Amino acid sequence: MKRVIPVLATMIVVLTACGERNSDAKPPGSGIELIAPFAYPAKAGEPVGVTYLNVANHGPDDDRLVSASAGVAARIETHETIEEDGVMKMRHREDGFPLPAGRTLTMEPGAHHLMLMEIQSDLVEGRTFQLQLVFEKAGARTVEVPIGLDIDRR
Amino acid sequence: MSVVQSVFTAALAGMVLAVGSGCDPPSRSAAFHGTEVTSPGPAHEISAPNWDGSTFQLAEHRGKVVLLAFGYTFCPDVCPFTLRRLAEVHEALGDDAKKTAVVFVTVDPERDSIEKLKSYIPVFNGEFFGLRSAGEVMAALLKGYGIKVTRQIPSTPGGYYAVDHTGDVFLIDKSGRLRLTHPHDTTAEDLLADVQALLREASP
Repeated sequence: MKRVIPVLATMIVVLTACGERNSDAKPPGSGIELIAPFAYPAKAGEPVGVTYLNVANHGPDDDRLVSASAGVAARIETHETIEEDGVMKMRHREDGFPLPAGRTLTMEPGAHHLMLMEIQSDLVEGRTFQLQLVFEKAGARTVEVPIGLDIDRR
Repeated sequence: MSVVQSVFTAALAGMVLAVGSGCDPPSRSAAFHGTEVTSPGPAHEISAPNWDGSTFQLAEHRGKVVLLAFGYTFCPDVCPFTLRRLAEVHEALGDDAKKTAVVFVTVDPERDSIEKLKSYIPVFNGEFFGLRSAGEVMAALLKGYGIKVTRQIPSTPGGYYAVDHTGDVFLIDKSGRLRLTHPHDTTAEDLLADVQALLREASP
C-alpha cells in the first residue's frame, strides 16, 4: 500500500506536466535525473562505506529523496557533513534530502552523501552495484554505481 | 593535467609578479594559498607508532616538508577525500615526493588499531604514515595542533558512531616549524603549490 501512493502521486504529477507541455511527455519518474553515481571501495564486514550521486529534479514540483538501499549494505542512511570552525561534523538527515523543483542536489565529499551501513559484500574497484532510491513523488528508481578511488567530481 | 596547468599558471603569475614589482620581494602572504601561521614556531613533536610497526618521530624528518592531517578510518566521507587528495599531491611531486612526509593521525584510537591502519593507509599510498596514539599522548598531540574531536552518540546502542574532528591539513617546513594550515576543501593544486614553495626555501 505504501508503494501505491508515491506511484499514484507520480502519475498525477506526470499527467499535470503533460497537460502543460505535450511535446515533453515523459514516463513516470523521468522528472528525476540520476547523475554520475560513484562509491569508494570497501570490504565486507566494514561498518561504513559511502556513495555519491547528483540528483536533478527537472519536474515542476518539489520532491524528496526519502530512502536508499542496496544489496551491498545492511542499510543506507542519508547523511550530510557540515563544517563549523574547521570541524567536520557528519549528521544523519532522517527526513532524507529535499529536491526543490528545477534544482540539482550535488552529493560530494564533505557535503551530502549516502552512507552505506554494515557492508555485506566487497565493493571492488572497477565493479558496479545496483542502488535503489525512493523518492516521495517520483517513486522508486534504480541506478548502477561504479566503484573507484580515483573518481572525482570536485 | 590540471595540476600541471595550475603550476604553470602559478609560475607564470609569479614571474609577472616578480617583474611587475621591480626590486621589491613578493610579500609573503601572496606566496601561499594556505593560511600562514603568524610567527611560526616548532611544530608540536609527534612520536607515535606507525601502521608498519615502526615508530614515527617528527624530529627525524627535519629537511623534509611534512603534510599532516587528522581523521579516522571509519570516516566514510571526508577522510578518504583528504587522503586521496594528499595522494594526488604526492604523485604530482614526482621525485620531490622523497623530500616530503605525509602523516595521517587517527582521532579514533578505540576503533583504529594498528592493524586497521595497516589495511587502510596503503590503499591510498604505501609511503604515507598512519599513526595511532592514545590517552595523554594523544590529548597533548591534539592540543598541540588545535584539533577538536567530539565523539558522536551512536543511533543504536553499540552501533556505528561518527567522530567530529578538525579537517585541516597542516604543512610543516624543513626546519620543523608549523607554517601553513589548509581547510578540508583545499584543492590538490593549491596544496601542491604550497608544498613546492616550502621545498624551494633554503634548507635548515
